[in-house]
Amino acid sequence: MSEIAAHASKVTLKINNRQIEATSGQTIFEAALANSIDIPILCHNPAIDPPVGVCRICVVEVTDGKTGKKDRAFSAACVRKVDEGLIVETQTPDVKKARHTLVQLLMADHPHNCRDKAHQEACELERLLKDFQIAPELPTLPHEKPRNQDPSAPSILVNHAACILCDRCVRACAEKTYHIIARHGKGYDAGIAFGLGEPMHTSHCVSCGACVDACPTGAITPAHDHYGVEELVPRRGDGIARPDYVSHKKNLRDRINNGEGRICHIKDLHEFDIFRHVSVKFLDQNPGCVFRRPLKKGEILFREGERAETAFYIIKDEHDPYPEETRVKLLTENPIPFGPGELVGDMSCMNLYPHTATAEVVFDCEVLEMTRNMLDLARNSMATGEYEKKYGRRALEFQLRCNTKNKENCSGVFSTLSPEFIKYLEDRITLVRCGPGQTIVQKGDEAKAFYFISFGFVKVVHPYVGGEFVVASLSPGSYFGEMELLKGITEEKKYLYTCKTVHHADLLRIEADDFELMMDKFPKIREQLVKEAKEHLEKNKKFQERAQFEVKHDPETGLEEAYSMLVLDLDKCTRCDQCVVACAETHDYNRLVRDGKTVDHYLIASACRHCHDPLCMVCHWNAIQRNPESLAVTIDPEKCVGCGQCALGCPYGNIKLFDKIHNLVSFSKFEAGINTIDLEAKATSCDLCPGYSVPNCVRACPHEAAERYSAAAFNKKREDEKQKLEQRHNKKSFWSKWFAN
Amino acid sequence: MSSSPAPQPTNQPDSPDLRKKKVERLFEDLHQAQRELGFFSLEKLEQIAKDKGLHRSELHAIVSYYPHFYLEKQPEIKVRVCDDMSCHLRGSTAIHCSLKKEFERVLNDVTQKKMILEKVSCLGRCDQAPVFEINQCYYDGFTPDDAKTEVQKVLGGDAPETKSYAPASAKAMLEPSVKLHNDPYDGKGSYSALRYYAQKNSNSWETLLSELEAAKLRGMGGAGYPTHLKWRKVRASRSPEKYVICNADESEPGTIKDRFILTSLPHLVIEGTILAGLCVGAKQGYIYIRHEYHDQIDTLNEELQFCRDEKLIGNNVLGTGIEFNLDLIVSPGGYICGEETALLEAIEGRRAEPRNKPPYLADVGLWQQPTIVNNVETLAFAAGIAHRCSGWFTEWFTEWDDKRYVGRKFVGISGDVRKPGVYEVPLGITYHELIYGQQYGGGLLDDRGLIAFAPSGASSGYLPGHMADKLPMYWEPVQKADSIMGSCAVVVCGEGACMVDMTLNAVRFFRKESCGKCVPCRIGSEKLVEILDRWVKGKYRDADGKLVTELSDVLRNTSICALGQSVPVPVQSLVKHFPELIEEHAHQHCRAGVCFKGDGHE
Repeated sequence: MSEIAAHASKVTLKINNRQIEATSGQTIFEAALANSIDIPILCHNPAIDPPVGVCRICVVEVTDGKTGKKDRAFSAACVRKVDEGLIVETQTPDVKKARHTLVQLLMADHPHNCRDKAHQEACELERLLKDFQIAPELPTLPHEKPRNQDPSAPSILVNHAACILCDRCVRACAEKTYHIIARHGKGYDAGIAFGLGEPMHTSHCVSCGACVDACPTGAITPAHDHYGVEELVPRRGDGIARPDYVSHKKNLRDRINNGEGRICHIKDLHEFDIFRHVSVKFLDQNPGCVFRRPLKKGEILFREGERAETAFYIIKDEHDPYPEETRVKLLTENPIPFGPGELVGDMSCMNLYPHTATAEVVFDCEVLEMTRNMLDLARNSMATGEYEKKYGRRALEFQLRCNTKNKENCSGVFSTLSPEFIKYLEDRITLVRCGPGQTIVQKGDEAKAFYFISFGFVKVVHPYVGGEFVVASLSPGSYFGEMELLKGITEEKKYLYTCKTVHHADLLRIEADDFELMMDKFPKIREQLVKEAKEHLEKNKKFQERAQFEVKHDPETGLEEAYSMLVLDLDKCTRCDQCVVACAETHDYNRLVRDGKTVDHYLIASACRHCHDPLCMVCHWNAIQRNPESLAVTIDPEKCVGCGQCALGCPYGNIKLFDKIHNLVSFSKFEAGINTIDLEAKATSCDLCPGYSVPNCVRACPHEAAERYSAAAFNKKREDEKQKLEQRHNKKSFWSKWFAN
Repeated sequence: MSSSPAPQPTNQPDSPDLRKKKVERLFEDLHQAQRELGFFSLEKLEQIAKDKGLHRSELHAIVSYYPHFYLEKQPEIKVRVCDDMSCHLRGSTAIHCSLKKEFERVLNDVTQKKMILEKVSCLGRCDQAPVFEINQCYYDGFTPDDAKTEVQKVLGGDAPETKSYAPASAKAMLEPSVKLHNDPYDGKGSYSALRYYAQKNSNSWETLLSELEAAKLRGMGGAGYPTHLKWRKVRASRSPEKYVICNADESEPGTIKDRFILTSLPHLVIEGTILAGLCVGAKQGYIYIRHEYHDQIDTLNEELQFCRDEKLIGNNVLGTGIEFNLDLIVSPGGYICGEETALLEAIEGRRAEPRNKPPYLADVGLWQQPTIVNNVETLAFAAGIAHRCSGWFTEWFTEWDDKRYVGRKFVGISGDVRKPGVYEVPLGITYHELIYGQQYGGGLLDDRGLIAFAPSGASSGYLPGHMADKLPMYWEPVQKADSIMGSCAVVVCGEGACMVDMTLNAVRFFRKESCGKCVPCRIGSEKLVEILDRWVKGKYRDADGKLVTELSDVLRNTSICALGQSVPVPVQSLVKHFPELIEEHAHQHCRAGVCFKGDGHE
C-alpha cells in the first residue's frame, strides 16, 4: 500500500503500445515528449502558456483503458491531460490522415505570397507540410478569400491572410501584460484584431514584437529586414542619445577584424541560456551582432564613464568546475561580483549611458559581447520569475546596503540595515521594470510605497496646466516616497510630486508597511531620512511658489520649453561681443555663443535655456541639478567626471566640455560613437550667474540688446510688438487715406 | 547593474471572483448601451471597457462575436428572413427573392441605408414557417405577396408588429385551455414535489435519484446521457460551490419543443431546476434562454417571481436554511451558445467558444466548479417524476420488434406536414406514425410523397422516406441508422424538395453558426459549403467525392465540439442515401425543379 501512496501523483498510460509513467496534471503531449514520442504541433508552443488546442494538428486517438471504450472523436494532445490507464495512439492511419487534411485545409487559405517570402523556412505550417511529405493542395478544394494587410505599424507588418488563428500572438501579448491582441468576429470571418479593432499602430500596441516572435506563419512579421529596437524618441531637436545600431555593429566588426574575438553564428546562439527563447526569425535578422570573446584575468572590460554600446554575457560552461565563482567585478566601493550566466553592463547599454563603474576581469572566462538590439531581444525573452527574483535580490543587497558612493542623496543612509532585515525584505520587495517616460507615482495619489532606484533615472516633476516642470533628477541609488511615508513630515499620505522615468529604469518597490517597520527598527536611518525630508520639503515649497507657468504650445518657435533664455534684439545689437566677453570673464570658460535660431528680429543665443523638462539632467554623478533659488539647471564642477552624457542630451548644443587646459573637447568623434572619454574634462553651461542680480551677459550689453526671457514673457513681448505694429500700420493707412482724399 | 524583467501581475487570468465581478450584467449593460445609438461607437466601447475593467481588446472580441451587437451604424429597418430547413421548405427563398426584387431601390440606396434585407439563422418558430422578422417583430406563415405588403407598410412609417398566419395546429398547442398529459399538476404550479423533498432529510435525494434511474430518464437535449448519472457525479463532488443550469437556448433548425414547454409548463421547468440544485447541493442555478423568446422570458420571470414570493428559491428555501438562487440569463445570441461549454463561456462573459473536453462539466464547469447543464425538457420530466414517481414516466411506452421502449417525449414536427407543431408522444413510436398519425403530423401537405425526413434538425442529416416506416424513435435504433434522435426536431421533406439543396441548406447553417475556434470547423465548414454550392449549380467534379469524404472525416474526428462534428452529417447522409441525386445534379438536372432556376441561390 505504501508504495502506491508514494506514487500517488504518478499515472501510467500506454502511448503507441509503450507503457509510460507520467505525472498527473501533465498533458499527453508533455508525457509523450518526455518519452521521446514525437507528436506534431502547430498552435501549441511549449514556451507559450496555456495551450489552447485549436489547430488540432496534435490530435491523438484515446481509448479509456478501464472501459475499453474508444473516444468518439480524437483529442488534442496539447490540452488533454493524462489519466490512469489511458491508451493513446499517435500514429494510426486515421490520425495521420486527419493531420494531413488539416494542413491541407490550412494551406488552401495560405497566401501564395507568404510562401515566396524569405521566411519560408520559418513558416511552421509549411514546415509541417514538408515533414508530412504531402501535396500542398487537395484537388478541387476551393481557395482562399482575400483578407487585408495592416501595414500601419512602422516595425511590424500584419498579413491577416496568413493568419491561422493559432492564438499564439494573443497569448504572447497577454503574457507581456499588454492584452492588445484578441480574436474578433465569428466563424470563417474570425481573425485577430488590435485593441478596439483599430489599426495596429493606433491601438495601444507598443511594438514589443512578442507577437512577431510567437507567430508561426508569415501573418505577423517584422516590417523591415532588420529588426530595430524601440528608439528613445527624440522630442526636441536631434540631440538626444539614440541607439546607433549600425555604427555599433561596425565598431564590433572592426574589433573582430583586430582579432579580439569571433562572430557567434546564429545557430550557436541558441545554445546559450540567454538566447534560448529568442526566435530564430529574429536572430536571423540580426547577424553579426554578437561576438564571443575570451577574457584574461586582470583585463579591463570597460571603464567608468565610457559610453556603453555593448553588453556582456558571461558564458556558462557545463564543465566549469567553479560555476559560482566570480568572473568580473564592478569596481565600486564595495565591488559587485558577476558570475557565469550573468549580464554585465546591460542597463548602461540599454539606455546608452556611460558606465558607472570600471569592470575588471578577476578570473579567466569567455563572454558574449552583444549590441543593444540583441540585448533587447534577450531581455524580452528572459521574462521568467526566477530571473527576476535573482536580480531583485542582487539589486537589494548591493544597492541598498553596500553601494555607498559618496553622493548627496545616495543610499549610504541604508548601510546600517541588518542582514536579517534585508533577508526579510527579499521576499517582500517588488522589482519594477519601467520603460521610457512611464509615470511611477502621481502627485496627489495616496502614498503606498517607497521606491529605490536601482537603475536608470527618475525625474521629479511638478505639473502645471499645459506642461510639466522638472525640478530634479534622481540617479540610481536615490529613492523617493519616503517623505510622504515618514510620520510627522506631511499632513496627508499623498505624493508631493509626480515621478517619471527618463529612459529604461529598474526600481525596487518597498510597501508602506515594510517601510514603517524598517523605520521602527532602525531609528538612525529614520533620523537621517527625517533630516533630509525636511530639507526637501523646504525646497519643495520654493518650487511650489515659483514653478507656476502659463505656457501655450507654440509650434512656430518651439521655445515653449525655455525657462530662461538669452534673447538678443538684433535691431539693437551691434555684434560687439561684450556679452560673450562678460561670460568668459565671470566663468573660466565661455558658456555663450552669439549664434543660433532667429525669431523675427531676435536671436536666441546658444546659451542654456534652463528648459522645463531638461533632457540633459541625466547624470550618474548627480552633477547636474536644478538650483532651487534661481531654478537654473546648474552643473557642479566638483562632481562632474566629464562623461559628456548631459552634453549629448542637450538638443541645442548648449553644454560644452572643456579639458584641463580649457580647450574645447571635440564632439564629432564622440557623436560617432567612439569612446573618447577624458575624465579630466568638465561639462559647463550657463548657471545664470549666481550671486549677481542680473546675469552678466545681460548686464554687460551696452545697447540694451541682451535680455533673459521665459518662453511666456518672450511670447508676450512679441505679441505686444505685433499689436503696436498693427496699430501703427492702421494709423498710417488712415493718413494715407486722408491724403488720398 | 543587471536587468530584470518586470513583475507581471496581470498576465495571469483573473480569479473567478474578480471575473464574476467584472462581467456581472455585462450583456445587459451592453444591450443597454447599444440601445442609444443602435451600435457601439469607439468612445462608447472605450467607456464600457473602463467601467467594467476589461481590456479593450477583450471587449472588442466579445462585441464582435455576438450577432446582435453592432460596431457600425445600422439601418432603420432590418428585414431578416429565416432560411433554415423548415422555412426553406415552406418557401422562405421565394419571400427573400421577392422582397429583394420589390425593394431593390431602397436596399441599394447606399447613401440613406434605410433598410437592409438579410438571411438569419433559425428563429425557433419552425412550426409557423416561413418566418421573417422586422426589427424583432415576427411575421409567421406569410406568402411572398403578403410579406411585400407588410414591409411596404413599415417602410411607409407603420410600427412593425408580430403577426401570424401560422397553421392552426401550431397555434392550438399554445392555447391556455389545452391540457397536457405531461403536466402532473394540470397547469397549476403547486411545487408539491419540491416541498416534499426539501423538507425531508438528505436520504430523500437518493430516493429521487433512484426514481430517475428507474424511469430511465435521459438527456432530452440530444445526447441522451442518463440524468441520474449526471446528477450523481456532481452530487458526489465535495466542492463547496456547484451550479445547475437549465439550457433553454434551443436554436437548431426544427427544434421548437423547448419554446412550447417554457410557455406551457414553466413551473415544471423551474421546479426541475430547483430539485436538481438542491439534490446536488448547488447554491446557484441559472436558466439560460435564447433572446428571441421574448414571451417565454416574460413567462419565466413571472414564475420566478412567484417562486421568490413563495420562498421556493432564495437564501432560505422553504425555511430549511438551504440557499438556492435561481436566475434567468438571456443569451447574447448564436446557436453555438447552446453547446454546454460554450454556454458557460458566455455566462463567464467571454466569446462563446466551446472548451476542450475532458475535463467534463461534472468536474470543471462554470467558474471552474462542478456544474450540471440539463435541457429544459429533461428538467421538466425530472420534476414530473419527482411528483408522480418513475411509473408516471414509464406508463407511456411502445413495443416494437419484441423491444419495449419506455418513456415520454415532446416532439416538434415541421416542414411539409399538415399539422406542424409540438406533440407529446411515447418514446419508440415510428417516425411514420409521427408524420402520418392524425393526432400528430397528420400526413404531408397536399398528399405529397415523403422523400426524406430529418430526425433532429440539421445535425441528424436526412433519412430517406421509406426508413420512417420501421424506425422507432429511440436513441439507439436511430443511431444504428447513422443518424441521431437528438432533440426530436423532425423536419419533413415532401416531394418538391431537392435533397442536395436541403443538404446545402443544413451545412450552410453550420457554417454560419461555427464559432471559428478550431481549424476543421472554421475552414472545413466553409469549404464544404463552397463544394455543395458548386454541386447545386451543376459543377460537380470527379475528385469531389473523395474530397468530401476526407473533409467529413476530419470534421467528425477532430472538431472540438458537437457542432463541428455534426457539420458533415447532412453531406454524409446525402452521399449515402441519395447518390443518384448528386449524379443528376452533375448533369444539370434537378428532379424537384428547385435548382437551376437561377433565383434560389446567390
